[in-house]
Amino acid sequence: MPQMTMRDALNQALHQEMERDERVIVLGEDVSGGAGGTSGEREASGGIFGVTKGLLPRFGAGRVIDTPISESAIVGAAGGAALAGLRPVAELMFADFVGVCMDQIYNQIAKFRYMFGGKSRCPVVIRMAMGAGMNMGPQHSQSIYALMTAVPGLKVVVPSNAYDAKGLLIEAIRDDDPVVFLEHKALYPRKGEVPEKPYTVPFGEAALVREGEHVTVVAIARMVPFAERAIDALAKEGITCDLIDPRTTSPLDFDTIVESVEGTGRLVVVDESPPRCSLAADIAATVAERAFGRLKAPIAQVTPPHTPVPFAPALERAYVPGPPRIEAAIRHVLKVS
Amino acid sequence: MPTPIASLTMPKWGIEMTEGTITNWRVTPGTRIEKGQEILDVETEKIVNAVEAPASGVLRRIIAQEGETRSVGELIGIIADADVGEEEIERFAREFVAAAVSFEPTDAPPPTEPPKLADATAAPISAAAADDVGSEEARVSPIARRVAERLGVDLSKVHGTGRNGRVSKEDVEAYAAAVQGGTAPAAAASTVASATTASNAATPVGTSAFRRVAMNSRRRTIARRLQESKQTIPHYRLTVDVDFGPVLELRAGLPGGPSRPSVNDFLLRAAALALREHPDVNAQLEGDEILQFEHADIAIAVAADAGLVTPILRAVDTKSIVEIAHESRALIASARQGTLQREQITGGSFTVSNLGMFGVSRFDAIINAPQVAILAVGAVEPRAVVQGNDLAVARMATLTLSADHRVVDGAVGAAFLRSLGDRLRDPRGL
Amino acid sequence: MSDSARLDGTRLLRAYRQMKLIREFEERLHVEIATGEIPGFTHLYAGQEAVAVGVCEQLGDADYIVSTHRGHGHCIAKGCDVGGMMKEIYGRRDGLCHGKGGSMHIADIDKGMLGANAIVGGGPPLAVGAAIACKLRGGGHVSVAFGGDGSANQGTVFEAMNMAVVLQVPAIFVFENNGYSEHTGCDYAVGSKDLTARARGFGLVAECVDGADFHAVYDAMGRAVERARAGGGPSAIEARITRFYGHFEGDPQKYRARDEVARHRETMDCLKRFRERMRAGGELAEAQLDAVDAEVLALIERIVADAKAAPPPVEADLYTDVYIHY
Repeated sequence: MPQMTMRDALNQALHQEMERDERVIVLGEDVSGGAGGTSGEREASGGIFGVTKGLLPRFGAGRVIDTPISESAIVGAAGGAALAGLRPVAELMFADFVGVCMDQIYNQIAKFRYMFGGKSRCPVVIRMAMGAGMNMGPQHSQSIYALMTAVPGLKVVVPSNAYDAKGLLIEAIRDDDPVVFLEHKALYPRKGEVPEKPYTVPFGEAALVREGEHVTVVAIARMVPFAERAIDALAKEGITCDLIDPRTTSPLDFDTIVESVEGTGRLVVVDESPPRCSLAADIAATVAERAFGRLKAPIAQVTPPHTPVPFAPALERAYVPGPPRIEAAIRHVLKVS
Repeated sequence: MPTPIASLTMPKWGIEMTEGTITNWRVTPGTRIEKGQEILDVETEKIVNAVEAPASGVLRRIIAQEGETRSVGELIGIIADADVGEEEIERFAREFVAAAVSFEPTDAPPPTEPPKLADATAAPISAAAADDVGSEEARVSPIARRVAERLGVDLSKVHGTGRNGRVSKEDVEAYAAAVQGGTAPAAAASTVASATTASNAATPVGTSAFRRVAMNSRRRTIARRLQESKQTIPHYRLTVDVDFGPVLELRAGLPGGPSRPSVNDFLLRAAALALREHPDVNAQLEGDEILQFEHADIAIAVAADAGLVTPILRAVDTKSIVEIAHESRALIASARQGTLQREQITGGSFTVSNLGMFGVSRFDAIINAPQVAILAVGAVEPRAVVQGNDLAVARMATLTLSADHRVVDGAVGAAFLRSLGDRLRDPRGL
Repeated sequence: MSDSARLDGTRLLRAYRQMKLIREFEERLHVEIATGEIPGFTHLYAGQEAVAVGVCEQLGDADYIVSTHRGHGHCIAKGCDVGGMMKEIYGRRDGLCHGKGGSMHIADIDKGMLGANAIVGGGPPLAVGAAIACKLRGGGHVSVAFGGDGSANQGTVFEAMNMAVVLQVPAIFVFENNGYSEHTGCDYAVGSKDLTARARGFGLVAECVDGADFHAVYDAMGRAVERARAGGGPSAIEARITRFYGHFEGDPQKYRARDEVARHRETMDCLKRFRERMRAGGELAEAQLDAVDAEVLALIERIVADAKAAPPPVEADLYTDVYIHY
C-alpha cells in the first residue's frame, strides 16, 4: 500500500469525491488562490496547507470557488447551497475563525433539519485546520472540537492519521448531515499507508490503536501519536495499554471506551482542548457514570492548562501535552513511579 | 364573520407576561364597541397599556373589575350581539376554559423509548458511484472483536445490540455464555470443537479426544481475580482446631425443621462478632489505604453450576442466629438459581468458605480481594483429642484463616482466630 | 411596457388574494396571540404585504427565498400551506415543521422557501449559497434574501452582498425598510441613512421603491430577476414600507408617535391602494375583490379552528430529526 501524508490523503479524497459526484463543490479563502492577481498563475495557492491543490485545474472555478475573507458568508453559502441540493465542502483556513461565523454554524446549519421538522437536508462539510504546536499564536492554534461537539446537529471529525483522514473525509462528504472536519495542522505531514481507491471510515467507531491489559488510554487527533510513543515506551517495562482513538467526537464511541475500561479498570484521557468542559471531562464523566464499579483508580485527564495557546516556542511546548506527561499519567493511575 | 359571543381575556403582551392588573375600564357594560377599539387599561410588571376589543358587539359583562389581577388567558369580559340571551351569556362564562400559559418543565419522566432516527432516503447521486472499499469491520466494537477472538466466537453469528446494531462486548459475552449453557442455536456449535473434527484452533498432537470449551464471562472473572489475588497478595495461613460439640448441643436444643440454624450459621455469627473485635481483619485494601468497616459484611462462597459465586450477608454482627439462618438460606438459594442482584455480590469485608459438606477435613483459601482475609472451614468430624490427661472423642473442625500480611499481621490474625474459637467453644453468647 | 402592465385579471386577482391572505392571517394572529393560547413570541408582517407578494409573484418553486423573523408574509407569498403554517405557530404536531420551529422557523424546501430565520442577518449568506447552486445548475433560477433595515447593519449581510458581487451569482437582496430596527429608528441605526446607496457601494445594482405599491415592487423585482437570469449578477431592492404592529406582539411601541400607525393604515395600506388602482383602471371589479375577501376570511376561520383542535407533538418527537443518521 502506498505511503502518503495526511495532506495528500485528504487531497486525494477531495479529488475522488468531486470526480464521483458533481454536486460536490469546494469553497473558501485561497482554495485555489491567484484570482485577481497579476501573475496570471490561476492556482497560486491550492489552500494554505495545500489540501485543495489541483482541484481548480481539474474541476474549474464553478466548483472550486475562491471566496473573499468572509467566514460567515463562506459557511452560510455552503449551508444555503446544501439546502439547495449541492454537497459543499467549505474551508475555514484556521479553526479559530469559527468565532467569526459561529452563528452560521450553530444557529443555522446545525439546526435546519430540526427546526424545519425533518424536511431539509444540509450535507455540508466544514474543513478547518486546528491545533497547537506550530508557533502560530493564540488565534491560530486552538483545538475547538469540544466547542463543536457541544452543538446538537453537528458531527465532528478528528482524524489522527492519513488512512483515517481519507476515509473519514469521504464519509463526511457522503454524509447527509453537517460535518465539522478538524485537521490537526501538525499532522498534515504525517505519513501512513493509504489505499489508492476511495473508501469510507464510519463515524462513531473508535479505532483500537494499541492493545494492552493495564490501562485504557483515549487520545484525540495529534494526541494519538503522542500516546503511542508513551505506551510503546512503557511496554518495555511490561506495562501495556489499550489505546483508543475515537476518530469522531460526535458521535463518540463511548461503548468501546467503556468496554475497554471494564477490562483494564484504569483510564487516562488525553485531550488537546482546554480542560474545562473538554472531551476529557466528557469521557471521564461518562466512564465514571457507566463503569464506576470497574474502576480501580481515579481517572486521569491529560490536557493543556486553562490558558490560551501561547506563542513563544518555550511556552507552547509546555502547553501541549506530550509523551512524557501521558506516560506519567499512566504510571500515576497504576501507582508505579 | 363575527362570532355571536366573543371572550375578552387577559391579553398576553410579550413572552414574559403571565398576569396583568386591570387599572381602568374605559367602557361600561351595555356599551356598543368596535373591533380594535381600546376598551380597558391593563398594568403589567413592565407597562400599562390599552387592550383592544377583539371583536365588535356589545360589552355584555365585565368579569374582572378594576384593581383585579388575572392570569393571561383568563376571562375578563364578554362581548356579544345585543340579541344574545342572558342565559347564553351565563353559560358561556361558566364553560369558558382559559388557555394555559406555563413555563414549568413537564413532571412526566422523559420518554423511555430510544431516540428514533428519521428515515434517510438517500438522494440520487448524479455521477456514477465509485467502486468503494467496504467497511465491514465497523459493525463490531474493537473490544468486542478482541473478546470474540479470545472466546473463539464466530462474530457473524452474534446479534448486535449496540449503536446502529453494532456488536458490543456484552453481545459477544452473552452469546458465548448462551453457547456454554446450551441455549444457543445449533449453528453455534463451532465454539465447542472436537479434536477429531476440523477446528480453527490448533489441535494438540497425540492426545485423546477432548472438548474445547470457551470460558464464560463468570469463569473468566473468577480466573482473573483469583490469579491476581494469588500472585499479588502476600498470603499467610493460620490453622486452628475447634471443638464444635457445644455448638451442636445448642443447635440440637432448638426446634427442628427447615428453619433451624446450621452449624455454618453459628460460625458466621461467631466470625462476625470476632471481626467486630478485630477491625484490621474486617477490612478492604484500596491503594495505600485500608478501609475498616463498621459492620461485618460476610461473603459466603457458594458453588453454583456456573462457577464460584460469593453473595454477601450484610451486617451479620447485628443479626440474630435466626435471622442469619433465614437470610443465608435465601442468599444461597438465589446464588444457585443465578438470580442474585448486582448489589448482593459487591462489597464484603470478609469471606467464609465451607467445604465441610464435601468431607474435606482441612484446606486453605485464596483471599477474595480487595478483602484482606478469608476463613476456610473443614468438616465437623469426630476426632481423638486429649482432654486433661485422657484421650477423648470430640466433634472437631479445622478452621484455616488466609490473611493478607500487608494489612493483617500474624499476631492480629491469631488473636482473631482465638476470639472466633472461644465464641464457638462457648456459644451461649451467640 | 412594464411587467405589471402585462398582468392579466387572473394574475392580478391572485396577487390581491395573496396580500389579503397575509393581512388576515396576521390580523387574526394579533387577536389570537392575546388570548395566550399561542406559545412564544411572534412578529407580524401586516402592512408589508405588497413587498412579499410583489417579489414572490416573479418567482417559481425552483427559485429560492430566505426569510426573516417577520416571515409569515414571505412564506405565504412563496406558496407555503397556510393551514400547516397556522398549526406550526400553534406548536402542533402536524404543523409545517411538526411544531419544532414555530413562527420564526417556518420552511418549505419543496416550495423553495429555505426558512424564516430568527437571527437578524442570518439569511443572506444562505441565499448566496442557494444562488451558487442556481448558477452551477444553469437553469436560470434565482435566490432572494429578504431582510429588514435592521439586518442591513449586520456584517453577515455585508459579507453576503460582497460575495454575491464577487461570484456574480443570481442573488437578489430585498431590504424591507419599515423604519424600525426592533425598537430603534432606522434613521438612527443606519449611519448613512441610505440603504440603496449602501448596496450600490458593494457593487450591486440597486433601486428604491414604494413598498406599499404592489406594482412598483413587482416591476423592480422583474428587472432584478431578468438581470440575474441573464447572468448580470446580483441586485438589491429597498422597499420603503411600514409595519402595522410592533416589533413583536405585545410590543408597547413607545418609540412610535401615537397616531403613526393609524396614519399609515390610511395612506400606506397596500390593499387599499390596490383596490383604488383596480377601480381606476377597471382591471378587476369591486365584487371580485369582495368575493376574495369573503373567501379568505372563511379560510382563516377554518385554519385557526383546525390549528386549535390539532394535537401537540408527543415527547418522543423531541428526539427526531436532530440528525438524518447518528
